[in-house]
Amino acid sequence: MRSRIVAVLFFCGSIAHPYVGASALEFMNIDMCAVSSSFGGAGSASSGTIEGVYKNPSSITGLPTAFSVYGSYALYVLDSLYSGAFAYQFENGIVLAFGTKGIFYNAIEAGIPYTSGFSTNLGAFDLYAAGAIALPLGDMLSLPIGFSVGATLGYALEVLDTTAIHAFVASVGGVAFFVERKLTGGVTIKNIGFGGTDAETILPPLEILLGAGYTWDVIDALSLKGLLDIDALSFAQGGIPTVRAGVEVLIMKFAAVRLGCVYADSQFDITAGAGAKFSLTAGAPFSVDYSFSTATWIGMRHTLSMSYSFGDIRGQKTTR
Amino acid sequence: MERHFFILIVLLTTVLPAAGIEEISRKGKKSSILSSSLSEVTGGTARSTEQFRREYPMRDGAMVLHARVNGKRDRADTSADIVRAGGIITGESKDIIEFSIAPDTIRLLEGMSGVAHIGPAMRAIPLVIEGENVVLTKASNMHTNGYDGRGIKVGIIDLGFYSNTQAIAAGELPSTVITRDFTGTGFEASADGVHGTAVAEVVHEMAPAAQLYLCKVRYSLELQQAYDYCKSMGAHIINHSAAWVGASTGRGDGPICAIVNDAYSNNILWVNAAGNHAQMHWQGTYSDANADELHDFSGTSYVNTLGPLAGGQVVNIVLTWDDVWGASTNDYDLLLLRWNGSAWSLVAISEDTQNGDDNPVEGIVGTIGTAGTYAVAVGKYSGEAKKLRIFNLSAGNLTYKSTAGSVTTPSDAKHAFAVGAINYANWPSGPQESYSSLGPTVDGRLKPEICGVDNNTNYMYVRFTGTSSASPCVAGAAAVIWSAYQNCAARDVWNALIHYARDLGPAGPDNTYGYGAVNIEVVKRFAAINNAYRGVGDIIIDQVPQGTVIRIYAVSGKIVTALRVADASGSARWNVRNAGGTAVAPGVYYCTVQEPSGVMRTTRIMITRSRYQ
Repeated sequence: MRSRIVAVLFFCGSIAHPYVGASALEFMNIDMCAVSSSFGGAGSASSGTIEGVYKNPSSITGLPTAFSVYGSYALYVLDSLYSGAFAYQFENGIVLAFGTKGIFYNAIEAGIPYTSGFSTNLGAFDLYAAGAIALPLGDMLSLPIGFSVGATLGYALEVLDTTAIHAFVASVGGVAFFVERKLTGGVTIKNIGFGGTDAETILPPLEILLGAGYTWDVIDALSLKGLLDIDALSFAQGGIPTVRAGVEVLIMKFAAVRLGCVYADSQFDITAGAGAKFSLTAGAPFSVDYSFSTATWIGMRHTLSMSYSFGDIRGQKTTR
Repeated sequence: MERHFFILIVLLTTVLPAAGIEEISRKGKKSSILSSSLSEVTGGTARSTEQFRREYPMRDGAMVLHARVNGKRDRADTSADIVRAGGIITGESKDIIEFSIAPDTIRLLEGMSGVAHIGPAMRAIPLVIEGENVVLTKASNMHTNGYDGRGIKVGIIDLGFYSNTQAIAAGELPSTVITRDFTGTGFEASADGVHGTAVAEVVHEMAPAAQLYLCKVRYSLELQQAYDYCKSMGAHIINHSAAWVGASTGRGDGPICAIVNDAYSNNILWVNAAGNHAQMHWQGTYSDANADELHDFSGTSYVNTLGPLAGGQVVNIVLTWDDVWGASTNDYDLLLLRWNGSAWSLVAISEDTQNGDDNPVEGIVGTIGTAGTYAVAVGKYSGEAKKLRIFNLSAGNLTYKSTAGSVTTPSDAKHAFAVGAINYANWPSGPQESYSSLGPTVDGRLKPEICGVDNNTNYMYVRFTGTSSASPCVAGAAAVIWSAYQNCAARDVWNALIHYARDLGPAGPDNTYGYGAVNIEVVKRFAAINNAYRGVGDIIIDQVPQGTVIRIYAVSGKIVTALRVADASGSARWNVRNAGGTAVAPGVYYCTVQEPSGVMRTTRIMITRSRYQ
C-alpha cells in the first residue's frame, strides 16, 4: 500500500513543474482565511469549515446550519487579498458551496514614475471562482469510519497588464475521522488543470497536501486542537517539504487563541491569531477571526475574516 | 537663422490656371473619381516638367497617384485596370494603390469601376526651421552615469539624408547607422536635402550609443513600409520630424495616425514634431449669415487674405473639417481668390465631392501667375456647419489665424508623443517658439506632450530650428531613459518623460508647453524592477551596492531564486529563470533587496510575455 502511495506521489511530482516559478497562478496557494493562517496554513484535515472551498473541499461538510457565508480581507506584503464564500448544506449532509478569492496589487514606488490618467499602468489582479461539492460518505453510508470527500471546479484568471492567464482548475480531497472524530486525517490535491496566455500554455501550481488533526477536550470549558500539513509533492520531487502546523486553545467555546508555524525554503515563520464565536441565534454562530504572520522575507501579513451560519440546524457530526 | 518648412503635399491639389476666372461660379459640381486637382492635367494644359515636379508628386517623369478602392471590387482587379491604362503599380496597402502614370494618360482613369477616389500621393514635409540640447536637457548627466542609449534602437523616418556620409566622416553620426531608402531615388540624393541627417545628428548627440535606423520616405505608403521595417528591426523609438497636413481631421484619425497608433500598440514610442504652423493656421466653425454659401471669417468678410503675392510664388492651402475620415457627408470647397481692383475673382478651386465615402479635405497648390492680393474662401456645397481648419503651407500670411489647435498630423494621433519647440536661449522659462504648433486637437486632447530644444548648433544647418529639431531632442532623451530601464515599455518612457518635464507656463500641463520642457533626471530610487517585463533580455536590478542579496519569490511566498551583487557594478541581472534554470511563468513575483547595511526593501516584478514579445 505504501509503495502505491509513493508511486502516486512521484507520478504527480513528474507532471508538476519541478521548480518554483515555472507554474503560473501561484496566488491559488495563498491562504486567505484567518483561522487556517493562524495555524500556519495547516487545514487539510479540518472539517466543518467553509474555507475548505480554497483548501480541502471535503472540509466543508459538517457545517452547523443549512446556510453559511464567509468573507475575509488581508493585507499581504504589498497587496490586498480578499475571499468570500457561500454554502448550502442539504439535510443529508451534502454541501454545495461557491467561493471566490483574489488579489489586488496596490501601487508601489518604483524607479520609473507612473501617472494616473494616462492608462492603467501595470494594472494586475488575480481572481479565482469555484464551485464545490462535498459528501459525508461515511455518514451517508453508515460506515464505521467517518469520512468525507469533496471536489471543486474553478476558473482562475490572472491579469498582468496586457497579458491574461486563464485556467480551469479542479481540486479534490478527503478527510477521515477516527476516535470519536477527534483524530482526523486529510489529503488534498489542489490545482489540477491547465491554462495559459494567448502565447503559451501554462500549468497551475499543483499541490498535494497530507494533513492530520487532533482535538482534545481537556475540560468542558477548555479544548485544544492541533493541525499539521505536509507538502507531499515537494517530498516526491526530492525537496524538503513545506511543513505547516498550529495549535488552538478554545476557551468556553467562545474565544480561541492560535499559534502556528511554517517551515519552508529553510525559513521559519511564526503565525498567530485569535478569534471569537458568538451565537446570534440558537445554533447560528457568528465568528470573527484575526491572524498575522511574520512571513519573514517578503513582509508581514494581517488577515481578518468573518463567517456566519444560519438557517435550519444540521446535525454536526464532524469536528472542526 | 535658416528656417525651413517641409510641408506635406495634400491629397487634393489644384493648379492655378494661367488666366483667372473672373467670376465665382460654383454650381453644378461634376461628380468624378479624379481629384479636382488633376483637372489641369486631364485638361491638357501644357506645363513644364519642373512645374509638375514642384506641384505634384513625381517619379521618373510620371505622376505618383493614390487610388482608393471602394471595397466593392477586388484590389487586384483595380490594379490590373490601372496597369491597362498605362500605370505602374508601386505599392499597395489596405485600400490604397500607389502607382505612377504619365500625365497625359490620367484621363483614361476616369470612370474606372471599384475606385472611390484618385488623387496625388500624400507627401510629407519635414518640419525643419535647424547642440545645446544635451546639457540643457541634462542628458549629459545621464551619459556620465552610463546611460547613453545603449541597447536602444531608434528609427528616424525622414525625407532627405543628403550628406549622411559626410556627417559620418565628420563624426557627427556613428558609422553604425543603418540606412534604408524607400523612395527609390537614392538614400543620399541631394535634391531631397539634409533634413534627416540633421535630425539623426540630434538623436545621436542625445543618445550616442543608440542604434540608429535611417529611413528615407516621401509618400505615405513609403512611410508605412518604413514603419514596418523599423518594427521588424525591433525599434524602441521612432522619430518623425515631419507633418502630413490634410491627412486627418485633427482628431488623430486617418491612415498616418493609424501608423502611429499601431506603433504604440507594438511598444514603440513614436516621437513627432508638433509642427511649425502656429502662425499658418486658422480654425473656426462654418458661419454664413448672408446665405451666400461662403464662410464668413468676420461679420463683413468671406475672405481670409494672404496678402500680396508675386508671380512665381507657390501657394499651398489645405482645408479640413471635423467630419468622419473616409466617410465625409459634408461637402466643403476651398477657393483661391485674387483682388481685381473692384471685386474678388476666383483663381482656383478645390471642389472634390464629399458624399459619404470621401475624406473631409480640400487643397490647392500651385504657382502664382499674376501678381496681386490673394485670399482664400471656404464654400459649403452641402451638409452641416462644421468646425473648419485651414493651413497655409507656403506663401502669404493669413489675416485671420489661430495659434490654438495648430498641431499637425500625425502629432494629433492619440499615441503620438508630440513635441513643441523652445529656443535654447529661452530654455529656462520660455516662451516657446512663436511658430511651434499648439493644441488642443479637434477633439480636445492635450497637445503637444512636451517641448524640446531648438535652434541648436548643428553640423548640417549650423542652427537647426523648428519642431523638427526639438523632436529628435526628445526622441534622444527617450532613448537615454529607456537605456536606463531596459525592460520597461513605451508608455513607461512616455510617463517618465512627462513626469520629469519641467513645468512651464500655467501650472500643470497646457496646450502650449504640454507637460513642460524635457528634463532627464537620474532616478535615485532603485529601479528597473516593478516594470513589466516583456520577455526579452535580463531584468536589471539597478543601483544596489556590492554584497546586496536579491531574492525572487512567487506571490505565494515560495522562493524562486536568489542573486548576489558580487562586484561594485551596482547592478544585478536576473535571467528570469528559477533556481533550476527553468524560465519562470508569467505572473507577479515579489522581490526583496537586502543590502549589506541591513536595509531591506520589497517590491514586485511583473512578468508578461505575450503582447510585446
